[in-house]
Amino acid sequence: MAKTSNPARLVRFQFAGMFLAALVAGWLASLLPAPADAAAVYPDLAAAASPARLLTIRQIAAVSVFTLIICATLMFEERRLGVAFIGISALLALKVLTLSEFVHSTELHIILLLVGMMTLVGALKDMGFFTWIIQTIINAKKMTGLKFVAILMLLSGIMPGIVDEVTSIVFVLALVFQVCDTLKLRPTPFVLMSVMATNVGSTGTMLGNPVGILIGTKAEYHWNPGAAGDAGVPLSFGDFIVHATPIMFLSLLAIFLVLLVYYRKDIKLLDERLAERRASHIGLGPMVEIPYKRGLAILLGALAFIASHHPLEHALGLEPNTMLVAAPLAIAGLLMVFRSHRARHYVESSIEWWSLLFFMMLFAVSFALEHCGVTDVIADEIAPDGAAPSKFLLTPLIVAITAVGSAFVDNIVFVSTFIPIIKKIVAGSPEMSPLWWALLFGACFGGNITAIGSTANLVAISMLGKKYSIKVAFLEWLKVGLVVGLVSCAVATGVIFCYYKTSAA
Amino acid sequence: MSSKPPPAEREAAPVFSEKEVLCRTDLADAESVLGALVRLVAAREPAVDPDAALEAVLAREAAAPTFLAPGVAMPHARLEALERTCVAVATSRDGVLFPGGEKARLAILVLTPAHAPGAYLRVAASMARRLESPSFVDEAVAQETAAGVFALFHRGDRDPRLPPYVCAADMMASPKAVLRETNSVKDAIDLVVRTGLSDIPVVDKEGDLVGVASAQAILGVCLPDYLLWMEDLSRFSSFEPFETLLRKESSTWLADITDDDCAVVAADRPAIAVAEAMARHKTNVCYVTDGARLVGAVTLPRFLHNVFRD
Repeated sequence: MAKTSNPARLVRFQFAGMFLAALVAGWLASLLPAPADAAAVYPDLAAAASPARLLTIRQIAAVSVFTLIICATLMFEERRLGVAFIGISALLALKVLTLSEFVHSTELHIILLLVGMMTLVGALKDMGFFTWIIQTIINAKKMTGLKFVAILMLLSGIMPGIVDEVTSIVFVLALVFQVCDTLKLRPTPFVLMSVMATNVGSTGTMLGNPVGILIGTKAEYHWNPGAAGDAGVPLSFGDFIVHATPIMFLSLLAIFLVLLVYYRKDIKLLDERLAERRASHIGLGPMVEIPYKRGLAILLGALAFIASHHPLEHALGLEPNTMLVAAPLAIAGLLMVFRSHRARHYVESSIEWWSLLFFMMLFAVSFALEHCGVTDVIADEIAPDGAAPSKFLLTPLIVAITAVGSAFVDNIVFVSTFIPIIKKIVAGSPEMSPLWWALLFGACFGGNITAIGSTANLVAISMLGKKYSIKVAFLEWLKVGLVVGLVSCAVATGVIFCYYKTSAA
Repeated sequence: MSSKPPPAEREAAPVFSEKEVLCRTDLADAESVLGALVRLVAAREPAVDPDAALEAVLAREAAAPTFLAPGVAMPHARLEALERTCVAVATSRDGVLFPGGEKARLAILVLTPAHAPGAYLRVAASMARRLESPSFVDEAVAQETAAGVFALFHRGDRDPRLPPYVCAADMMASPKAVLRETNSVKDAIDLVVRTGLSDIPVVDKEGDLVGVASAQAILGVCLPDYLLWMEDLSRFSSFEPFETLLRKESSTWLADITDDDCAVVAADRPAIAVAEAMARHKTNVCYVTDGARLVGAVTLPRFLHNVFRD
């Protein structure tokens, strides 16, 4: 009789592996050098007989919980939030975090920014804005295979920067499925092209990826290192447009060329089928008049409002990035007031509460790692105090570590852990500020390497499975993902070197 | 590749003997003949109450005629008391008048246990194979003795036992409508409208099954997913999304609405595979093929009728 897999046994095995990994990580944490200033980190430790020993226990707890969450993300997508809840409860019970520290560390402003954007996206979908874009592309005259792929990748690259990457991939795949269904084409190559362009495109603006928002709001960037009065400041929407968008477009162009070669046979077939339809004067879908203007006006207004957050904050004397959060909330609020019959739908269906809650728990665990001094130790290992860090070593190193890590674990896990590390390095060497960009691009571009590398990948695979019962093999993705990941990371690293020159000047 | 199930438990003996044969009966009406056949079965199976059995058979006959072929009736009923399938056969030179007004020269009474879903189908399949010979009824009526009739049923390679399982082919009927892959979407819409069918098989010039064109696919062409994202389509009160297809339906290829991922089962596969295919594809029709050639279709209502009611 053939052997059959036993899912329950596999889950037990995975659970055992997860707890074993947490134990090993905890043991490694116990080997960290005992901090001399333990009592300074935790005032409540001052009364303890051995503050350093108590801090070590807390480090073990924080590292173990962090490892548990990483393993849960890797092995149990549907259980990861549950594991994160349990982990946070443990950190609270073990006094690694106080209640007020926990609330403070969940980065509610980032969560609210995402809530505002998701509400906006829900309303735009309702109003037919996305439908209009798809219909316009589908019914474009003289469409060829090359032209379609170029438009598809450009759209996939630009949309995540305007809406978020998950909304973007859902919307772009609707276009891919419509074309592949009508032309009877294998959808996988076009899905992979879209999702890879989406991952690259998500770095283009601050709104493209939760990672961008996290880096933007948490960064302490020194624009004039060494100059009098220079202080680390958060990144603004404009900073992303000036520094991240060009890298995004260059990388997009590079992976477009790679994918053109890799999927040349599928593109040729697409071209032939499109030519047949053109000859028969048959379109790829219905053509109706979509009332897109209102949606477009709302989107452009929202983008202009968000993009002008920096000057607005200056003018109103607000803290950096206050309006970055306030603007999407205000827009979402207005939409909910004027479309009150759909307001509940937006809040209940358009907002990804599952992901947002997970982000909150993750931010708190990362804060615990930072607070216990674990990230300091890692930062010291990467850039020892007193030694002048080399941009030629650190930039590719940060890109590579975060890319490889993000290829297997949710990139926000890596970024939230690396933020305190980069912060410490940059605090010691302000001229290393471009490492913030290295962190962004490594984390986002690394997501292209494997099928589980980003949320957009998982959404795309799930949609492909549901619609066509197609499974993308791990190696099938890896073969093209590795090339795309390497090429895009190399382009990003090269341009980031130029930013050092700018900074030094 | 068709994988046959482990051999089902086969009947150890023929489902009837010459004692359950009423040869050249002079009885002219169905009720009398069926009453006589039920009594023959009751003589062999004491658990059978002849009156209750006759009532059940007549009720089933009144619900729908049970003619298997011209001149061949196969009345049947499910009985709680029975534990095995019982068959009795009657032949008549002048024919026995059945409720629908049709005359049967060969009547095959089938009584099956109430909770054996495939029992009747196995007998029907077995009899259908005998009736493939066009002269079988004439030969049966020509027999002068019960032994002769019994021998005819079990002559040569005719297995006296029931088949181990019911095949997809035993349940199928000819497809009510078929499209050629060279047809257009207009032809598909015409056929859907005319027949009321929601799924129509598409075959190539060799008769091989290519896929299925469905009414849902026609709707999907007019209202693709991305159009359904909009909160409300009532603004298209004049059916604007249907205009494009209406204008181009004659030149739009059938491939646009043909789905090759449909429920298909090989004719020799056990009929349970039909149910499996329909359940997996969430469809109400399963197509039956011989090689790649389309030979029939089983609808879900027909399947349910066969399993629960026949």
